[in-house]
Amino acid sequence: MTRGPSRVSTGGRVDRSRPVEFSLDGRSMRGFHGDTLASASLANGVTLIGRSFKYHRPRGFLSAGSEEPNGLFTLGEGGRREPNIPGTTTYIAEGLSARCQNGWPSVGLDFMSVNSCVAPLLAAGFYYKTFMGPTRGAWMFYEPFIRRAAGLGRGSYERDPDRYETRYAFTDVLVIGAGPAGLTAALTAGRAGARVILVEQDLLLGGSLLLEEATGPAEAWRQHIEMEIKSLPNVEIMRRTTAQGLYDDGTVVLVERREHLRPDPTKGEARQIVTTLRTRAIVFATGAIERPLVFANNDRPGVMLASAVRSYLNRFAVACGQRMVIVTNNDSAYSTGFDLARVGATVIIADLRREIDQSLTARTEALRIELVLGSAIVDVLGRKSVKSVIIAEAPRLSNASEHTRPAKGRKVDCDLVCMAGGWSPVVHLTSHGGIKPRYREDIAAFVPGGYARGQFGAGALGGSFGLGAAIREGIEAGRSAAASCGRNMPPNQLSVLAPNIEDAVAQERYRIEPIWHLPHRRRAKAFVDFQNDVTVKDLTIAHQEGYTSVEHLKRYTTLGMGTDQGKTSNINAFAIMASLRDVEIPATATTTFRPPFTPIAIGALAGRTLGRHFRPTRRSPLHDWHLNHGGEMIEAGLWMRAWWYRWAGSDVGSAYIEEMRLVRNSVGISDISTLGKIDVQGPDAAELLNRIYVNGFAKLLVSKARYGVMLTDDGAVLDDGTTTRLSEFRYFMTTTTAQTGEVMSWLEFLLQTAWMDLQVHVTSVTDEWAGMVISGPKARAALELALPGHDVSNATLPYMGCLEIDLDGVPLRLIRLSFSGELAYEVYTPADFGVRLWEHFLTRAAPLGIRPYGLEALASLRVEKGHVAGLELDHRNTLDDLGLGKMASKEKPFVGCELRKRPSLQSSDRWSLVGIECLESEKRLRGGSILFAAAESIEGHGRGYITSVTWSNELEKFVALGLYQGGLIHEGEQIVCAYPLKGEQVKARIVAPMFLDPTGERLRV
Amino acid sequence: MFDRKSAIVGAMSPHGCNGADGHRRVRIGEAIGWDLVQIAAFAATSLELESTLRSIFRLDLPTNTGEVLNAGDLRLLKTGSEQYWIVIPDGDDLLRDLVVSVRPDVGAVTSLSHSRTRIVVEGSAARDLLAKGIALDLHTDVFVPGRFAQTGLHHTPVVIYRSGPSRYELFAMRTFALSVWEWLIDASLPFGYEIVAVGRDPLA
Amino acid sequence: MCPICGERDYTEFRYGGDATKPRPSRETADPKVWHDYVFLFDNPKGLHREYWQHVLGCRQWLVLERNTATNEPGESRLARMDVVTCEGEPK
Repeated sequence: MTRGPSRVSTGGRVDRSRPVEFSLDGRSMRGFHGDTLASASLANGVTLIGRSFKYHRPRGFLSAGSEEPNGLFTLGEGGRREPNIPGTTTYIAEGLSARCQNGWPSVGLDFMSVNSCVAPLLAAGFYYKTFMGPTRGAWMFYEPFIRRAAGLGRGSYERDPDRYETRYAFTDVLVIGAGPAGLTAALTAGRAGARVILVEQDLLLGGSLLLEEATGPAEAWRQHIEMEIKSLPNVEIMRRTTAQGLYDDGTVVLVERREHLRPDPTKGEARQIVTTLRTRAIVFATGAIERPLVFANNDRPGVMLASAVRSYLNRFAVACGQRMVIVTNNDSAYSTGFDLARVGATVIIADLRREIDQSLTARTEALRIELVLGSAIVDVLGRKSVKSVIIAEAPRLSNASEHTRPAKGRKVDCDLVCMAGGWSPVVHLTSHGGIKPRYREDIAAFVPGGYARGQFGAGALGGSFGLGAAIREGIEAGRSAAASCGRNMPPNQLSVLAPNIEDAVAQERYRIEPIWHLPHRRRAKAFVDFQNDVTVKDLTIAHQEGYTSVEHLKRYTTLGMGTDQGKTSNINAFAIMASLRDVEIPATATTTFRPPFTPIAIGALAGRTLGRHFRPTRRSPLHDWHLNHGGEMIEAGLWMRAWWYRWAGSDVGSAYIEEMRLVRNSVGISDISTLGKIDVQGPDAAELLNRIYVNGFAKLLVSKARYGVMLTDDGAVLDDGTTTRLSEFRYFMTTTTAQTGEVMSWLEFLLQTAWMDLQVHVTSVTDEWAGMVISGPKARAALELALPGHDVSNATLPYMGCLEIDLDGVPLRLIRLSFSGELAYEVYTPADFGVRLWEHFLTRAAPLGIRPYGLEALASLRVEKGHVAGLELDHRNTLDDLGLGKMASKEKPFVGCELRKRPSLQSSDRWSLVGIECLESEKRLRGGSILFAAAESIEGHGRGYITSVTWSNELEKFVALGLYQGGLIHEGEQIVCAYPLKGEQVKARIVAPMFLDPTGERLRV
Repeated sequence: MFDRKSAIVGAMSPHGCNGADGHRRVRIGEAIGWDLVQIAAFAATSLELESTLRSIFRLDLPTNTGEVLNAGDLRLLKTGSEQYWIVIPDGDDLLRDLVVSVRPDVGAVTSLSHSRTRIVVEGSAARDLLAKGIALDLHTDVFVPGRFAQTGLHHTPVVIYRSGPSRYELFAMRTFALSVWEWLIDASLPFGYEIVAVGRDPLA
Repeated sequence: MCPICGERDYTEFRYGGDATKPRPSRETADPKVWHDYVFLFDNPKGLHREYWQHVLGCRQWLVLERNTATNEPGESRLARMDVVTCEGEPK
């Protein structure tokens, strides 16, 4: 006689006309379209599919669904390799390659099973005790061994070639779960006219209906309802989609898996799609998961959940064994026995209860099933597969403690053991919002503790395990959900055809006795959490050591912390802990349910947010010109900026010096389009500026520009820039590139929350204007060549003056400002004209030798001139720290004016702006160097640091700006600039932060 | 003298790519040749500005943000409680008229013609494409053709105007436009796309 | 929820601080008043009023009621219609 699982010749919902080839551990196998990796493996006679986490015990499939703790595989090769994927929820596709996990060299012959011998080492609290206690040193010794031995699959270091998508969606009603309750809820809400999305993690709709025979009335009903739903254009069905989490305001995150469709990333097909779904109403119809029973060696391959065995038979046409023993504490397992007996298996039912319903007894007799009431399985024999079990008298107490010695029993040969410990409603999602589940004594299970507004439950989730109840509740939930979205429907349209299933009535009277833990020998292992190898003994240790709260129990024993999150183990553990503490189960409560319901690939959450789509890139209107003309680009926040140009050198170090020389000696042009620009208009525009800048703006004349600094309320410098008065009521403000967004929001905040009386409007025009600066002693000559017929003389356009001109229909804004310290003009033009104007300047001023210069030179020129910029403005320093204290007006209050006077900000010890010049000609200064006084030992945080550095052509040495404790009090003193990363120490001197043209003659020529 | 150069001109070669099912279910192009003017009232001048605008356009203004007034070539979008966007063909003298007619103590007139890039997306998959990045319910009953919304796409602010049941216009920030464009093209891959030549109405 | 644009994704908004505290008038020269305004905040459990800006939308600053214990949002109004002003100070 054959032993173990095999495919039966008829029935099931697999498509026998579509064979599928796949490989398991390199062995080629065949299954059918519609098979999961689990059902196909079982059909091929494979029962041993993994080794356990800690003890490396042989394991087989426990379940047929997403609760599977044992049957985890590593799927795919190379960058597609993905570990710890349940075979029970993976549909086979042509060419699928799967590997068993945690066995070396193979799961059949696993050297690591010696762990079973060192088991005492790995008991509950092992990690904590080893890390924290006096044995901490021992961890160093154990670690490599433990790390190699314990664990599951391994990920890949290669890039995942697949594509993932994320999207937003909206619906009136979301129905989660397409069992009988969910199907009727979706149909009802859909008929009422609501927009409905029905999600089902399975490939097929039907839920528990799929456990029924594939040719019976249940199937006919299922197909009929499915057709009805599909006929409604306002109902969208999402298969292979898991509702992973419930968030605020009815937001649900869905993950759709499409691996079984073999998506091609080059065609844009996604492997997984994450949907952020906003709902107005939700119907939870998530069903229930069957619990195992806890007895000795209950983890042997061939010990399975009764409902799973039924699923494999009726859904996949796989008989999991020929001789089976069912051990149960409730009625639902009988259907499995009946169905297997019908296909010729020998069935023994050991019912822990002493009394059962007469109708069940009658049917067992009719099918020649041996029924042993009041009995339990006390041990399982066989290592890699079940050989036999010991059946003995069941305990009378509701939960036997570990020390109850089993009564002497009889040995029964078998190849399959079915456990039926009752059903746990899938309360995960309903609990994500913080509503704690509630224990129901009559069904010995936790049900949702309630529903938030607009949320409804139906079917087994609420503890109604009968089909009739599921349908009734589904209709009611669907109706209520639609009504809560304003879609009401007359009651006479509510009828949904009910199926004629003989079990339907029987299931209405679900009876359970809360016995889960069966007696066993003291040394035998009885597993509670299969994935994390947590046994009854571990729970006992946790109890003895005081970790009795479920949250402590969980963390101390790792119970429920695996990839299955304890879907099959938690309730059993809580029950056993309750019994150890001698309290009722409700007193132990449950652990906190958190998203996700099942593991999500990080790639799916990232979606297409990868590579160049990781974040948006901001480009100047001149971007392409730079690229096409030897510009090397650098990231600056989201911006790409021209860093240096190839005309000036072959690397940044040589090029920027050459570009600086150009600007100091003749004329250069640089892209400043990235500056923040704000259009400030209105009768009170001057008043607004006067309030936010530390210096006076009330009297700024039309066509004049002024440098200004603004503070935050706490007195720190927020930003600096220039503002130009274009007309009586109109100003053009520029901000630093980095602070644009902040300044804009800050102005809007003040205008909308504090100064509502001001007649001003601000608009960001950063993108409207291309900006370029022409600087150098020949800058005016360049302008004269480029703008013939326009007077740009010192008289018409003086330093800090502005001129708006029209260049053959193109508006230009010329503002004479200088960041570099040279004669310079900022020129703005509407962005679409930017490139043409830039080229125009380069062409017309070519006789002067004009060339472009980049960000490095731009930033270095200002260092030489001693202008502060983003690197100095660190949001902690004050006006005084930056040597700008004299700018602060005494005539008017301005933002930050009171708190900048705080005593702590007045200390003479503050890190303030200094100039630094290098004293060692063969060495260089570096940005970020830590500053120490000359004779000080080089350790700790020092007295300051260098913010920015440049080579000075003028001084023929490196010069820098920095922040130094006490600032210019130390002018003239020698210091040491330490750069520990390169082990450098350079002698330098504190000087005034102005290395060039201190009187500003060059600006005013 | 100078021609206008769009922010995404470099990406504009007309071509296409079939989707997974062999079709091209979105068409994407850039609309050029238009001007955009923003008009905003100050805190105390909204009524005065409204009456000024009514007298210029001789039409009733939209009352709610998100509503659009179409009058010939002109499109007026109400972008805030006292703020409007006016989209007109370029070269129109309206901007000059507005600057003259709207007194500077009544409203702020700001040209934004160069600040935005106008991307047109059309086709049976247009809504699915945009739903990948726009957190708005684009169902026709909710986001009704003829309306617009100010929202975000690819972390940047965009104005999305639904000019037909399966036709959308996106006003993206100019400096982010190429990034948004690249995002759209990549997101279109599974649907199949056709890039249409630039024009005043590229998909006409 | 934006009173101008309607219900929107939270990613379109930026947080802007406690909206229950009145901003001192510009002329206030008492550093203690400014100190308290800038640095001292209650951290209430339950209903709270906060500033939010609809940055990826109409750019309006809002005052949003939010329950800090449940994260449940309440009424949202334009800040300029709903701001707390200093007692006695003309608005």
